[in-house]
Amino acid sequence: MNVISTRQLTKRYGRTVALRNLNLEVHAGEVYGLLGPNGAGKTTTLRLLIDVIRPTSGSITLFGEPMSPRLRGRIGYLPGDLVLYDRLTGADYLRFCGAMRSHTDLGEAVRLAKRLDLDLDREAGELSKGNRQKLGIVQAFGHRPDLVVLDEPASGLDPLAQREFHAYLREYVDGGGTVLFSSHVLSEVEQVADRVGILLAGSLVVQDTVASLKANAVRELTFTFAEDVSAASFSGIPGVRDAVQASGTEVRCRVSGAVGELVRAAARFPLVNVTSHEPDLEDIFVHYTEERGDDD
Amino acid sequence: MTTELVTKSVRDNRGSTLGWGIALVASVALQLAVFPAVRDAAGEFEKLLESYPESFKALFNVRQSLASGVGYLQGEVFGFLAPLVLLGIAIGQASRATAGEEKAHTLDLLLANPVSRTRVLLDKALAVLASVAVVTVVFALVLLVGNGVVGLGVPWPDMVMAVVASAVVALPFGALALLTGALTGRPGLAVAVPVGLGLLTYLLDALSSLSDGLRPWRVLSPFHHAAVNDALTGSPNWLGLVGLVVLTAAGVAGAAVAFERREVRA
Repeated sequence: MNVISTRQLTKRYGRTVALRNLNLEVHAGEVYGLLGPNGAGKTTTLRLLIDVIRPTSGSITLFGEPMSPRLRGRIGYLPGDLVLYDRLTGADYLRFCGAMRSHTDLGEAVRLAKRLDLDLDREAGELSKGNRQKLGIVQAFGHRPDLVVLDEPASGLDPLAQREFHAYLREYVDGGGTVLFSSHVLSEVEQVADRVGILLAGSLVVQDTVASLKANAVRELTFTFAEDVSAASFSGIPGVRDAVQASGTEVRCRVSGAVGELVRAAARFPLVNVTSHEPDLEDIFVHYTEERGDDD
Repeated sequence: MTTELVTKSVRDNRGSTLGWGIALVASVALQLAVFPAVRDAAGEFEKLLESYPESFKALFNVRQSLASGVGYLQGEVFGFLAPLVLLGIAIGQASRATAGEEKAHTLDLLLANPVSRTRVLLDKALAVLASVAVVTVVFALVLLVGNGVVGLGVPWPDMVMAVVASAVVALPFGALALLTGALTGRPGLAVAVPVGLGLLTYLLDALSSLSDGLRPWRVLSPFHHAAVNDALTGSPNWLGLVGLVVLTAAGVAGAAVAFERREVRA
């Protein structure tokens, strides 16, 4: 079942298109990472979903329904630009949220705060950026929502808190929850997301599982030969995007998809060594960014 | 009603309510304390006032002799001080209701709660109303006590009605602040619009007694319909007061519609 589903979702500000025909589907029980550089439309997407801004065109359904006040009780939200009420302590703030959400049991929130090592007795205004972010995370999960929407959740967190938070995300999803989060940090998305959508300049350029993205990614193969071999011998082989002469006996190729054809071609020469660089999301990300750049 | 949100908003407004309230009580107490001296020196004051231009007297609501309790209250308390404070509270707090949260960037999280935007706006409006009510009650009590102590000789029901009328005239301006804030998300503008209109309509009402040209226009002034002076002399303008309450309700309803459609700035 789709917990989040958008159809041709578009948001314009005057002549600027912040988001263009977004068809986003987030399935129940998955962690979906929305990846993109600053200004790509990640925050716009999340704020449209939460209904603090309205689409220019297109539609959104959550749990198969249009957004309503009642539905918001099933959703936790962490804004990217997190500002809390300075004069409320963490505990006061959680009590306020609990009352607003008719969920007065603070057990889950207190447990998570403890795991993140957050002191709930201090006023939000006195907290460091990292601790404020922790409180933001705690309030998003405190009422045990079915879906959480998190805008750059790891920003400001120290590595230890980040690890604890990622572990918690996994447990939350294993317990039946669904997560949509945005990030411009590739390693984070790679670590925690089941599926990834890459957003560039307001358009979703790709949406796939992390594993499948990697399988189809551009990887780099470096061949070392016993004698000089021209890089030109490898251009034109299916899948090869470019071949560079690293030295007389060394050729570096970038290839997308299966590498069989390329390896067969290389084997016709006296091959000494092959090294392959495992692609990470960064390569994928850079690849799509470059491709977009070529179009313009 | 979301008790928690109303309570929190009242608490957030506490400083403003206390500040304005103390200013009002202290000023009224001071004004009342000097009343016996003014009454005793009435002859001198009359001569002084006679030399003032009519427009000046109209502006400061000097209509009767300052030596009479009613005249003194009209000139010194209800003419300028009471509307200043009560409009100050209503406009100040209503302007921050939603626009303040939007400017502070706390509105996203507040609206992510399972309550409708209309509910949020009405709860915040209720909190403003509570502040106005508290200050109104304290204002009335100070006047009633002062009435007895310094012998103003104003019947207490008239005193209470004048205080109520002073509070009611502040309400539509608070509603306008709420509406401007809900439409624009700018607390500064939500202060400026009702303050500007407040000044304009105050002057219109005050000066309309001097100019035949202005007189027909005074129906546009909420101060004309509140008729605090008439309330103080025992003939409140009930229809006018009800009209102001209806106008306030319409303003709040408009603010709710605007807020439901508002694109919250990131």
